[in-house]
Amino acid sequence: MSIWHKVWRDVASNKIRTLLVVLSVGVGVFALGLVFGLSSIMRARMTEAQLAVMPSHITFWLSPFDQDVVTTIRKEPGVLDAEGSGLMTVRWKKQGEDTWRNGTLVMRRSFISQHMNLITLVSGEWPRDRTVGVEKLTAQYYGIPPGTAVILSYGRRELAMPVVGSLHDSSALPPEFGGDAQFYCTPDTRAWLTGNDRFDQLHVRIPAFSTARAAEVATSIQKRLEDMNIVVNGHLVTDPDVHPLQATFDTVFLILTLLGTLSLGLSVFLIINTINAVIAQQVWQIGVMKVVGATFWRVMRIYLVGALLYGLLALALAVPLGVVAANAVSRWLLGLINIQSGPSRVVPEAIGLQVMVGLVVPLVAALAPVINGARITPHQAITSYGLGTDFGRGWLDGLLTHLRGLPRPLALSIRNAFRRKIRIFLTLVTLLLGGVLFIVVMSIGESLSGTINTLVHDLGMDVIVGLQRPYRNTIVTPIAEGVPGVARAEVWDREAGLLAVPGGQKKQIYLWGVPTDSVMMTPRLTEGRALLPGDSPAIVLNKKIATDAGIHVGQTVTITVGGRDVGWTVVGLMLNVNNDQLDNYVPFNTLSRAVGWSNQGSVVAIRLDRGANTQAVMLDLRTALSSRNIEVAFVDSANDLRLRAQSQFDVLMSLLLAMSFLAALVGSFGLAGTMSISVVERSREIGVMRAIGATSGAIVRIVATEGMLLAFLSWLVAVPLSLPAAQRFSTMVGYQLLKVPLDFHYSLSAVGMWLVIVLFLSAIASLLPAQRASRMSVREALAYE
Amino acid sequence: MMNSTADTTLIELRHVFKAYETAAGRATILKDISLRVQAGEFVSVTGPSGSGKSTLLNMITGIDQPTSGEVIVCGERVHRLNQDQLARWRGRRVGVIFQFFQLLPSLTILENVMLPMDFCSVYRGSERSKRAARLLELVGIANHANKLPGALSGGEQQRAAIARALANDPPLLVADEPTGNLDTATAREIFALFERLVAEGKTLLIVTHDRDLSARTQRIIRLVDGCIVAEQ
Repeated sequence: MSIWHKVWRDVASNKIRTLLVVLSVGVGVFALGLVFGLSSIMRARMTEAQLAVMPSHITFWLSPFDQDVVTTIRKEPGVLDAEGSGLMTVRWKKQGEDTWRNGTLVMRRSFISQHMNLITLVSGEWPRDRTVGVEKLTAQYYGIPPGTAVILSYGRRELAMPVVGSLHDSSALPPEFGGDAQFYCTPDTRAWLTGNDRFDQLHVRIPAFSTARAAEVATSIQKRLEDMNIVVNGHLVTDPDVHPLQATFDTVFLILTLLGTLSLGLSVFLIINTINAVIAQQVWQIGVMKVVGATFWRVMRIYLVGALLYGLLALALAVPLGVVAANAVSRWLLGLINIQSGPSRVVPEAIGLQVMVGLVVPLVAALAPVINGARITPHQAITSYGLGTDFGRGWLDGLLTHLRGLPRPLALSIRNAFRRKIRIFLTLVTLLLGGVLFIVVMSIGESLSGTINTLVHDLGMDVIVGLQRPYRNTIVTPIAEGVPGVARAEVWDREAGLLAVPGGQKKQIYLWGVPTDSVMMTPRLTEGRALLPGDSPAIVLNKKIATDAGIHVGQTVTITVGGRDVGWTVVGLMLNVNNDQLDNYVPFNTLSRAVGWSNQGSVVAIRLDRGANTQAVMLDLRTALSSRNIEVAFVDSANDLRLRAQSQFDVLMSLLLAMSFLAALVGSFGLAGTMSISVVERSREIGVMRAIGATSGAIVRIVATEGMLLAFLSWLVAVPLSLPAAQRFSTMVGYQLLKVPLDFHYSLSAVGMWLVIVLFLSAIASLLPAQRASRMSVREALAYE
Repeated sequence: MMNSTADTTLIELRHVFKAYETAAGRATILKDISLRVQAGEFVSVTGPSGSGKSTLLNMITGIDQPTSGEVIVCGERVHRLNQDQLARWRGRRVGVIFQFFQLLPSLTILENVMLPMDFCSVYRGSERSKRAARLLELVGIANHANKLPGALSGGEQQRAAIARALANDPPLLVADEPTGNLDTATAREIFALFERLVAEGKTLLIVTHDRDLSARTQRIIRLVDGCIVAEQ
């Protein structure tokens, strides 16, 4: 039927308009396909990877123990299997280099017969005596593949170790995320380096996992271990079906889904605008069709089929791109978290959603303009020759008309911008939403950075030194304070404890034993007070723990530490987000007595002199302590901690910025479409201006000014809207990622950046229509239908 | 460059042909048109529909280009100018008056009249508003200066269009069916205005179907099928 030829030719003849509509729908559909496909692929791969390594269900951190303990625990009721491992911090450097770095040395009894937390051999050989294996990402990041050698240092001992194999350990934190270099060795190798081949981690699997059952078994194992005089520093129950980072990524995907839906919403506005413009340009055609017999419903069908055709074209573009993008981004993200991505996947549910949205959205968006167009009468359609009188009605037109004293071309740009009010409103909405999103995302980034700074500030120290075991503060403090650049050193301690909560349960928490006269402990108190000299069994409790357990200032709580139940008086509540909000402060002396080490601690908190070279002081501290036979486990700076924490959120920020870029793109398409439509509708006006002396440059300036004016207006509206939006989003992201609201920072720099970006995008979006306008033949522009 | 043998010749067409390629083949609209119009003449171009009247006007205003031949207007070989040169030249040398007025709807009447001055910078910025107001007074609609075109009648809009055409004081005015959209009485008023402008020294070339009005011009050029068949 000839009428379907018309539909196809309408779509095919105006390629730029069709491209704009298809891109408008396509961006939103692509975004949905990307997000749903990505989350589906990631979830599936993360779960597969998790199951493949046979993760332990319970992990204990213990005082050094040997294989006999493992054998004993294997026989405990409720235990399916048990395995020991050793984890220690070493220093390392590449052969021929001077720079020492922190590294982790993982010891397994046997790599060939592993029981759980499986590590796989990627290339080379399993580590054997006096050799090491290296984690695959470490090898890539630092350039230490099998066949090279590294120098490992522990205490005062430095040994060259050949790297014989590259291993894949999915539990290793990638270096890009701030993880230390990871090496693997046998017990003999570790004994050669450190003189100690005992385990310090116990891994347990139970027959049928449930969180409640694992907790029960963990409690009974802990009691058994304590009966064996093994100190339990803490334990963790892990769901074997859930990757440890699943919750983090779920948060990311939730945010991306919201943004993808928003992009789709913006697309709807663009389609409404464009279909309105198509109808406006075809007014006379509609009139003619009605004269020759078309009914209202026939006209409706024609233009709705046209809208459907746009949707199909958008799907043809968006679906394959969505599949490719979802696989590419998942490959990148999985690589970041050390999971093999496997072959590319197609997610049927994501495609189904895209198809539904890609077909339904254009139809729904086109409905109102098509109905209005179908109502046009033949008389309305064929009585239009002049330049129209579509300006001058309403208070806004009146206000703009009263703007006197402007150069006429500028007055034209300003008033033309508001001639089609609904279209302009929709265009402004898409632009301003892009702006709001950009400012919100940047504010979240600044809030995350600010919160990380607060986390680091909550540590209270510039450098933290971890010791291999507790040492007397009277010995360690003078050594540390004798190092140039150290303003103050305090010996602290850190122990795991079990807090008795209502209901007879016990909750694992961590106690920082801090000198009551500490200058570095600066808790963010929400109630009560900090520790004071003379405090004995007092505790400044984490606010989250207090809220969850219904504990108040003044109450006495029972905490099991060092195998004994100790009563502690809650003197204050503090906000502290470190360590999943499980950290609490108690007096150093009281804690050390409770665990049986009088005035001994395994952490040295360092405050540096202003202007001190942090790296040099860290090196000197290690040297000074090691030279006095104090075994140093690690030395870390607050700045390094900040950078590591920041790098973990960089991935999220990259994804958020990408989505805000998509929204900005949609807004730009909207503006380009609006300007194109505007130019086409005003062809005759442009012809008249050319006839009375306007050069190409003048036409371009008028059109481009109109576009940039709209962009500026959108910025003006976006800025006040972005503040409450940024606050809400920051709170949501904070709770999802860190379980606390972020320290909110509104990004003023983003406000300025968005103004520049949106003006730039609007200049580009207006340029093509402006150039087309300037190239219009005067004769064609003035030709009457 | 002006022909030295016609010092007061304002418009000269020499063997102008205009043809278009269409889907149905080549269509020749103007066939070997040669004519001269002297400065100060009031000339009407008449002929049946499709005879090429508007095309002839487009040649003279530079809105369209000849397929062959020469078009010399106000001393300028119009057919050799590019689009921007044509726009500038037109703004200063030719005032165009359209059948449907073609006033920009988002500018007031005063601003419409000032617009060509803004494009061509013939007058200083401080002079433009005053000149526009004088022109509106000349055409008798000074009291509508701050209104939008939509608020005026057809005759008032055409007067405004005439004022706009006079904005940069061009020597030549060209009008395509200027009274085609007006009632008889208003058409007569507009024509009287044209006569006044010619008396003041303007050269005016109009296309019209109206025989009574064309009879009031000094010279009638009759076009049929793209050829000049009569001049009187």
